[in-house]
Amino acid sequence: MTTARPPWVSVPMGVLAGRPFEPAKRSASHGRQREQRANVKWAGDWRRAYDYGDPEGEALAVHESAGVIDVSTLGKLLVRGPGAGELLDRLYPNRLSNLEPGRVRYGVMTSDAGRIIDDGTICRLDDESFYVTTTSSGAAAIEEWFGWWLATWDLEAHVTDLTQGLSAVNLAGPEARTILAGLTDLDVSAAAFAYLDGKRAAVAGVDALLMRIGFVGEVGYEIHFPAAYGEHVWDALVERGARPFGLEPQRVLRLQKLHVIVGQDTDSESTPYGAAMPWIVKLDKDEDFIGRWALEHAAEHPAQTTLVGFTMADGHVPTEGAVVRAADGGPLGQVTSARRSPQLGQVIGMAWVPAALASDGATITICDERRDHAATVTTRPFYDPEGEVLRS
Amino acid sequence: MSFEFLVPGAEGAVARSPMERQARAAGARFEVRGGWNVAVAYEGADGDAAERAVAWADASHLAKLEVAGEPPLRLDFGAATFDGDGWWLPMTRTRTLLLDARDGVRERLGGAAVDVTTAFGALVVGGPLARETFARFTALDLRPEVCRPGAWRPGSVARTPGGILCLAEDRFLVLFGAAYGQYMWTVVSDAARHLGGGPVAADALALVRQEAGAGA
Repeated sequence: MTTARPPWVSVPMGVLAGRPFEPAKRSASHGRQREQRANVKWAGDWRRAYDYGDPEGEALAVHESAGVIDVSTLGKLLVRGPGAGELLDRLYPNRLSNLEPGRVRYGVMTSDAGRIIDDGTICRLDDESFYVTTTSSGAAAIEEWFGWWLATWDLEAHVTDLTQGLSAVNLAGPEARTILAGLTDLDVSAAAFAYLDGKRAAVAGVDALLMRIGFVGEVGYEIHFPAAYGEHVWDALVERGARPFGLEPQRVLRLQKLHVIVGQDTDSESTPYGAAMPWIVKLDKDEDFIGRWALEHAAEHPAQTTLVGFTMADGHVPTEGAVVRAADGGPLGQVTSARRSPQLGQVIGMAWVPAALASDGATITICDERRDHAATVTTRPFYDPEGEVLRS
Repeated sequence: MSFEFLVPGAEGAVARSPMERQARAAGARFEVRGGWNVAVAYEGADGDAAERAVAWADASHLAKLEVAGEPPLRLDFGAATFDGDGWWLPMTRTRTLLLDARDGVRERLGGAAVDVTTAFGALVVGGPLARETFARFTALDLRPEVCRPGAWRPGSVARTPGGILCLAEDRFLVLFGAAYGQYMWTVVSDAARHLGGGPVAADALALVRQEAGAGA
């Protein structure tokens, strides 16, 4: 036995006896979703429902009636103070200080090098308050990113991380409006609650922030509310007819709209220009912003590769990462996402291809597991390309 | 439009702790108090656990505010301050958590305060083996000679961001991200049960107010 002498003290062996457990985040309705036969997998540091046993059926339900997905994992930041608008204008390449209260805008964040690091939505709550969502996987890093730059710029603004404090669900589908109308006094008609509106109202008795946005391509409402009511609101929506759907059908649905998942369809070299989002960069902004210098350079030098959609000619679902190759066999790009769409009856995907091939109808060759497959390029969403359904 | 939607309080809905299912599985009986479903008894609970070994109680329902900017009172690094508003827990010079915030405080603090009650889970861990329990899952130094009542230790708890408030000689409150509720219950339960501990109702540990005013 060793005798402990100051400044050290003896440590009982018991302190070493704690068993290791894997830290896992779970949303407030996680337990209920398990009861509803959710197939749960890791998604970053969260345990999430990938599907409820029938991913194709769940995706179709969103098109034909209504579905609800738990999106509580989204990063959620409250940015407030007289300098809040300026902070966001400096962090994002688009303008946010001119956003009207009660309106929502999409935002892509870039690094100093103009590379995409995250995306999400920004809802202006009032003159000095913004509600910012981030990707699920990027939530912690973006909260730090906001904090670092806020300290550097010394703006009169505060950032509060509400990621774990608020539940969020996305109710989507042609029946979504009817379901929501049965749970709130808010006028949810298309005229009163338009696409990209943000409103506060009680849903199933719970005070909530509602944003009319549509990652999955149908009329949709993202509802954010205190996590302590997670099961209550989830149950109310399901009882009214919304079918739970998981991450897998969500990935199919968003692919039909060519909505990007940062980190999957983009990598550390992707700029908004290459990712087919040049419209998000406002180089005519008066303020300097993160990545401006690099993005000015990128605007003057067209990207060599571009993110596009494609359909497979033979119905093969290529592996994510499969090579887009040239006639001589050399690599030209890569597949980032691919799924079979039950709605479209086709295998669709997204890939980085040479800019010269980024045109509707262009033919590309995808080499997957040593076999070549023909695919056709499209630059417009596969589903509702004009966004008429989304805005209806 | 403001951010009032952050404040728990709903018509016809009960607020639930992120550990409610684990407490229920452990035999908890619940009552609605202040709009929250609170464990008021555990079937077959060892009533002496807190005196003999260690016991833990879910305190997630306690109101919590994040106060931005200079706090309205002097706060010292590493020390919590209790006053009539609740427990002031300094995170940085310009960011403070107010735990067990009393009614009306948020309104009085105005725009500086944001309700973060549901952002954090909370467990009160008490008993002669409370420190021993914590030693199994956190490196925060809670030895009596350096962690007196009133000490506030933000840091890693069970490998997640959190903090521990020393409420009394053998009573602590641990704060952690609400989404880690199930995980944290599992960790604390595993550590405490090996020491003869068990869960108790919120009342059993008198939670945080009984020892209020103890020196930091």
